[in-house]
Amino acid sequence: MNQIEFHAMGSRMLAMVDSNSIPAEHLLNQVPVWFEEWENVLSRFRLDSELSRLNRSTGMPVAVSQTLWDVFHGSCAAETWTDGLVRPTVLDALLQAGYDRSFDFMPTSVSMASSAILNLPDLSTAVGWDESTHSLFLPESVHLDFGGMAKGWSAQQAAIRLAEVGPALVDAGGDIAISGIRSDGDAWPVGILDPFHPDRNLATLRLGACGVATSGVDYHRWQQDGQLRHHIIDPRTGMSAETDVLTATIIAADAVRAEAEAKAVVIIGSRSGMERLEADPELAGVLILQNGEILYSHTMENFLWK
Amino acid sequence: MQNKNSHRWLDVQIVIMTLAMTVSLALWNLFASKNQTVTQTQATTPSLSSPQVTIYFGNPAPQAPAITAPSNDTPAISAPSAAPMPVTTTRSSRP
Repeated sequence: MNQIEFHAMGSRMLAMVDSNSIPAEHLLNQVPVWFEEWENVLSRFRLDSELSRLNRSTGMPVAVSQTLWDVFHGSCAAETWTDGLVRPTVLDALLQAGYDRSFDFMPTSVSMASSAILNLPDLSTAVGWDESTHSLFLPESVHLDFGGMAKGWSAQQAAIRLAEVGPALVDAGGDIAISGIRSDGDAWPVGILDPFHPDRNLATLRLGACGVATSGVDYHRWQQDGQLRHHIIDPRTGMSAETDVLTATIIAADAVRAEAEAKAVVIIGSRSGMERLEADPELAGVLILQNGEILYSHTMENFLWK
Repeated sequence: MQNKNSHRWLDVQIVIMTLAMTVSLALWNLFASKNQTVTQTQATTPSLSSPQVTIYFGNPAPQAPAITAPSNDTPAISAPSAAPMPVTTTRSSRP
């Protein structure tokens, strides 16, 4: 087993390959380089990133890199999967809520006056694109933040690349992509952090090829003029989602889908969230509620290590 | 005539003494031999209290099993095997 840990995108990253070969070791050493490249494209906190330049270039078509193109279309898919609950046009709403810098540098309280941005446009209708020139067109009032989608996409992309040299797992700050079961035929054991006791796990998952992601309001939160805010924006209100879910952990076919579904479940709350999970056999999930209650979808039975 | 009778009596005495000595020697010899045999038998029988030493070549000496007193806090049935240590943990994004 080869593995590498590093810091990127404001989070701890871990990449593992179940192989001791020299090519596996060499490829693993490339993972931080890949993440640095992707962060240079996708981060809204880097003023010189490709995304920041795109956000400054509204009202005109801008040719974009393959990475930005792929993540944009992944986000369009996420918007479709979640019936518009997850959309990267939330940047202005996030800024309005006070989330204007990397969370590493966020104060615990901000005094910016808040006002809801009620009209968060659909990504697929508001943003134009031209396949022949790989260009995107942002209207004047639309700015993008891929947020967790960028991490999920990066984890998935890295796992796909590493799979050339062996079964791989990539953990991008809690968004995890797995290329397949380990060489010995065993599943990968992955813990679910207990948000009430961050030094221990609530359960252990047994995972093969899939994506798993946790979204929640347990960490990224702050006070704004006495009101509790967090980074998960409900596009129906333009404000931090009012939810009874503290964290949602979702297992899906890949990390992008898992990230989108986890965020959607947090936004709509536990009741609608569980209905959503139970209606889709391709999803499995665990919801930890703010009152301490824990809800499992029936499909979680297949993934819990007993 | 008197001389002839005295010779005869003397002969009888000699015969009686010879028989007595013969019987005495025979009996002596008989009992003396039995005692000697018993003594020799006892000397060649190994003493049961003497230690027996066995030497093994090419194999480790056998070890006596350790016997420990049962502990009250040791469960009689082992718990089912726990999940392996997770390689990582999914959590909401944080540094």
